[in-house]
Amino acid sequence: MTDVLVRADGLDVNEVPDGYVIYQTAADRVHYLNKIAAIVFELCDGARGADDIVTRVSQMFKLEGKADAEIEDCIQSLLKEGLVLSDSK
Amino acid sequence: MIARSWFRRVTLCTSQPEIFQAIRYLECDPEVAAEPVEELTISVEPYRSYYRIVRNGELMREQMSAQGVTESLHAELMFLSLADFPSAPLIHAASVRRGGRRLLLVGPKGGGKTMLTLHLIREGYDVEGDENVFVTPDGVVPRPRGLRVKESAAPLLPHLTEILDAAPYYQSLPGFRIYNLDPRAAGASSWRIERGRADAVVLLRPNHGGWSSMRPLSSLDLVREVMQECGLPETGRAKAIGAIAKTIGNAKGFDLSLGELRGAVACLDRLCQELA
Repeated sequence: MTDVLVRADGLDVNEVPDGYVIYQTAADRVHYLNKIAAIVFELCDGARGADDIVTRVSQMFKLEGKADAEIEDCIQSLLKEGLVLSDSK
Repeated sequence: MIARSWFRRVTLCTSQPEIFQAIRYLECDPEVAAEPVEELTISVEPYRSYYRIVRNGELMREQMSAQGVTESLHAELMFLSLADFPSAPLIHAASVRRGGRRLLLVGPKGGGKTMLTLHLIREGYDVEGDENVFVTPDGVVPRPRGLRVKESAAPLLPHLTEILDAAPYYQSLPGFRIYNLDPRAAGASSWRIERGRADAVVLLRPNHGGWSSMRPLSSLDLVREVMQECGLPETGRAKAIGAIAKTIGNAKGFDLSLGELRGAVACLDRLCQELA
């Protein structure tokens, strides 16, 4: 079994030109995701784990591993805020 | 006299000169592009030692003083406006137009919206309102209401001295009058309010005594800032926030450091040229 990341339920996602505005119904909170965070959020589709997402984002922006820690921090923030959940596949 | 919400035209009547003078503070009769419009009549008449406020023949409230009557009617008009768009967020913003383009000037109370709006009228801008805008999925709707000019601002508006002297006002404390000013009295050639898109959303940051300057603001940052100046409905918040995101996402966003007014007007003139 591997852990994958999946978007939480009860989110109302609104796209703006430079990111996402997400309303979290249960917590009555609004979250503002910049473009990179929005891409990370999109990749949390239940098919990938955190390491895979870090690799994909790094490749997508030709970062060659230089920003892996920041991308991991972003994933941790999304998990902490309850916007994505870790699930076993 | 007439007062308005978007879908309601309210005839205010009284036989009492003291009441008439007081409730002129609520007078508001722009051309409103709304259909259909419900006609209401609210009358204020003395009864024993107080005043009865009667709406379409039904007793609404009783008040002891002209000020109490004004406050009751002020609240009622706000409720009528909120009832027009029960699921729409309401943001603190002035709405002005030039060349068919609409600018929303977003800022807190005391942030300079009215002062800037009055100067824009002098420069030929059309004004819709200086305080509240509903954000609906079909566009923004400025709330019909006269411009509110604080007595403390009057010395900064020498061209309006005589007009303000004759304007109706509300006074809760000595030396603290708030005037109700029809944009047409302030020099606007017309006063028309329409529902439609916002072409630009400009966040006002007071810079009293300083220079004015303007810079682009990202949509995400602008949504975050506008949410601070926004009242959300009790229910349907997801849709309300979605309407704000859509409105701002479709508009150009700017941050205006609001100092001297001539510079601020020049910044907005340049913006209007870009939008044209």
